[in-house]
Amino acid sequence: MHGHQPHPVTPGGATAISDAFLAKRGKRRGSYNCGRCGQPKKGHVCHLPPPSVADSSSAAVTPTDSSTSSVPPSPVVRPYSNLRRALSFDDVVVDELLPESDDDGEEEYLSPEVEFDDGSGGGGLPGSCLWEVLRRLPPPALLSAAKVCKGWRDVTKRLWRAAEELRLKVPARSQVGFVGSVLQKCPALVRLSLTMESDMDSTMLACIAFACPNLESLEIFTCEGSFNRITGDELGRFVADKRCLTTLKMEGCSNLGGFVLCSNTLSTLWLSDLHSLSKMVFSCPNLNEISLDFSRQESDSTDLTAMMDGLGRSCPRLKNIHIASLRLSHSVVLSLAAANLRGLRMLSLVLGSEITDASVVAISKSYSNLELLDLSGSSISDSGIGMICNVFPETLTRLLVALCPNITSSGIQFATAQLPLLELMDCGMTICESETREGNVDSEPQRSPNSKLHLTYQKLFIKHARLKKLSLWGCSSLDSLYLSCPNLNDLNLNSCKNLLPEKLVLQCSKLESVHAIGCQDGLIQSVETQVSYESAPIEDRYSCKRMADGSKRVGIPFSFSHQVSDNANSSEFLDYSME
Amino acid sequence: MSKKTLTLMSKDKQLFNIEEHLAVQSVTIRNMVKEDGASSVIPLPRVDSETLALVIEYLNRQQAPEEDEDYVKKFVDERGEIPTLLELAQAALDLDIKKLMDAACMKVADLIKDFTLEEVREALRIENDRTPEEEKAIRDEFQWAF
Repeated sequence: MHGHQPHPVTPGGATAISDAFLAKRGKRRGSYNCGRCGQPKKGHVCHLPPPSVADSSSAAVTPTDSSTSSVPPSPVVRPYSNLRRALSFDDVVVDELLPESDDDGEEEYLSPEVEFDDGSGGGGLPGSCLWEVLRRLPPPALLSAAKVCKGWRDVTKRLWRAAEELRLKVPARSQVGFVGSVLQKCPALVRLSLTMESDMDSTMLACIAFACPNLESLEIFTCEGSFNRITGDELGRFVADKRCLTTLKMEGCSNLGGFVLCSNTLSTLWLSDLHSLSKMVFSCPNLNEISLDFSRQESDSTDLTAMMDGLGRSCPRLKNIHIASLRLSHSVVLSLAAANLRGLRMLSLVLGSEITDASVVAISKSYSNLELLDLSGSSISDSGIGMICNVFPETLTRLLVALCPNITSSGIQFATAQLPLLELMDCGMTICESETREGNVDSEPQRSPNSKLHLTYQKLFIKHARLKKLSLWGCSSLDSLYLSCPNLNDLNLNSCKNLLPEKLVLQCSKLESVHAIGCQDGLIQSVETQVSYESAPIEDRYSCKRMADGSKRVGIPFSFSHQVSDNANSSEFLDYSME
Repeated sequence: MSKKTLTLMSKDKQLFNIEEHLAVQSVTIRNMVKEDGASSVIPLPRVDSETLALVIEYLNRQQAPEEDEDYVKKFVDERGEIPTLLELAQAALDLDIKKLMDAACMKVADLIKDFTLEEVREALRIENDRTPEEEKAIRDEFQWAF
């Protein structure tokens, strides 16, 4: 659940939304799935341990304050295997990514100059190798490396200059001078990602604008305790001034107030933690993807209908839309439908309990080519599902309807039968007794007696040729499950607590991970036997290993009292912590 | 797949045999084989025999693809001496064996990243070629980092 880290959500039903957001993040480069284990996660994982941020605001503008000496020298220059490095170093402060293409040329150029000590045998570090070693150093260590000798200084200089992408963790209590002096060294920077443990303010933004003339992508992640003070005006100015900016992702946007964004280049915009915006103007004709994650507070007063009207008018090229807000309603959907965005392919409107079957009608009338539809947290029912099946059988590959209390097992079965292209389906918390729908399971004793009263056991039969990923988390009313899905790879049965081991039939030869936290004791065994039976010996051992580990270590969205938490060394299993 | 054997010669003229299909994990060797068939001995004048033995051990590994990553890491970890690793890294770089080069360079970087300046110089046998004035100039430049 790495999605939780950067997107603080309410403990209640928001988990699916966080997932949805995560899913959304995966949409970069048009690939929805890869985001779940690819780049976005990298950002989340490497700063998982939230540092206790002290009063960073008071020390904010003294560029040469010596307090920065406390910067832990532990970051990492990333080589090719970004993900692994990110995962293996939780204390990463600064990551630098040097694009391969750059160093190849550079390397040749360097070698003759930097050969020193070569005759001594063993100790000498030939230039090309030095480049390779130094580019793997974390930036603070790289700064120190410059002092080793002149040869090293040259190489480090070139390394900084060649850097196109920089990931910087800005420690609490560091000042704008820290970021400034690093950025100063890398005039070629194209992509900058800042993880702010200190507060983010306009000075920092101005510093970035000044130091990176060619910036195309800016990501700002906030950590627990850090505050993003950027106002809508400041952001608007930044966007207008940065003529190359194509991607902007910013967390902690609670202080924006309202904004006007004008850019001809901007194509991807993700803003999260938005709250009560007075105006939202997007004058971005090339905007391709937008993700707006609103705060989960009921007091949020943003007028989403007006916003949607504006989006429709000024951003005709939108392909992917993700909006998470409790204030999403049918009228917002009507505005969207009226916008007639011809390119729209992925639509995710989550948390809107006022989104109904009528909204589905509106969506399907205007947008009949959707590849992804996420209406998690809405009030749509089986008839809504029926309409989805009628309209999108030839395009829809991903359907997410988690936390939709009106959907039943027959709706799910119908969807899988009628949507032949489906590859991902999330039905979390649909087939469950109402008590657990809230996802708030702290109240174990209270839950059991009540829920037993109107518990009707349901069955689910799914036969699907393409389905790769199926999530039934929290489907506590499910007692028997029959899956015949030859391509199914990932199955989430977390908290399907009434699923009977003897009534689970899996004919899924490609199944690699099954999540089964909070299920009946025999269930994992039942899964293992069936998967072993299906697959070849070696793969079988492999998948079993994953299963056991996955089901032990994967986090689930709500904390069951009997959840086993064994997060040590869990990095490789984060891939499987989806729902 | 052909079970043809190639012979590699180290800097100190020692010969090593390796099956061709394993040797061509090295892009450099692959290109040489492609160009002239490499019927004779392939000389590797920059690689000493100890290092070449390591490289060959690595190339001969029999790992399932999904465990390869772990294997490379362990392989490098077991050779924790910086000079050895550097030789290995340089050889892997010359021979264009990407995974090995990655792992070896990363290991060296991991080892030296927490070293003090003196420790780095000692481990890599590097002379400090700066005058105190130059040192001070650099210190001033990076003041915030100290």
